[in-house]
Amino acid sequence: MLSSLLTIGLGHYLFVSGALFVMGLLGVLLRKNILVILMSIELMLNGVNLAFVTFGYFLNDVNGAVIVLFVIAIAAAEAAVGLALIVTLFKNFKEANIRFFEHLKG
Amino acid sequence: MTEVFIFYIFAALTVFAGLGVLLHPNPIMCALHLVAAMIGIAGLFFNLNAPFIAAVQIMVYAGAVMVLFLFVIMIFDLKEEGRGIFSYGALSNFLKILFAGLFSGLLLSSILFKISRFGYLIPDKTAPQFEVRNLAKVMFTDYVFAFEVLGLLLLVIPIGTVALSRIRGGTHAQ
Repeated sequence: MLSSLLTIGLGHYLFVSGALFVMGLLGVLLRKNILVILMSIELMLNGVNLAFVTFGYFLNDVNGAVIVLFVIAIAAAEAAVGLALIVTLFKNFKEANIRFFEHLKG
Repeated sequence: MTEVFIFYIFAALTVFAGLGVLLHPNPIMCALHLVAAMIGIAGLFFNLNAPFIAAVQIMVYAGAVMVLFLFVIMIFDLKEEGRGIFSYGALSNFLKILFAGLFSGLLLSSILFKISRFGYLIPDKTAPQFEVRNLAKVMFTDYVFAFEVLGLLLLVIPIGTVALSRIRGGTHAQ
């Protein structure tokens, strides 16, 4: 038991990665504020990145890290577009609660 | 031994900061917790022998993306949400938590399966497999098409962002 705590293996990193993904999932499902929902999506993306780098490290494969670079670039682009949409929503509704965006027409 | 300590410190930082994003009522504090989580993940990348990825993580996420988030929060002057931070509906929230629990059980079982198959793997700590040179070799040979498409995407995204944030109108125009 103690030795499995003191030698860091594949599983330890994967547990952290899975915990991050589930916390992001709960944030997307439960939170009301649309900005916090976007932040939770970033949290999920980071959990996946951690899993990629972990497998790349333990399997001695450089592809894991390259894919993480692509994911980071796309996540930054996605955050920019999402925030532009949120700015437009704020301008029209003066409200951050996701419940008020049920009827979007044009 | 030091890498064990580094792992536990940064893993605890990451998990607690993630819980802060999930549970804190104030959006600005959520954003700051997200920065802490990014820094924790960068530390874990560093521990995984990938210092370049860790540096990119801090620059892009803790730098660029979080500045955007804080900028938007401060422009619109978001206050703490008064009446509960979670969406309404007891039944729907119960179902959401139930299915998230089922999903985390699935994730846990697949992680345990991976450990039972790949748990014996001992990484080669002396090999600098995530060095910038190796990353660049793979990125500019195997993934060169994806890299070009990514460049096109990063050209289109700023134009789309500016166009989107200048939209006035639709049926809700005031």
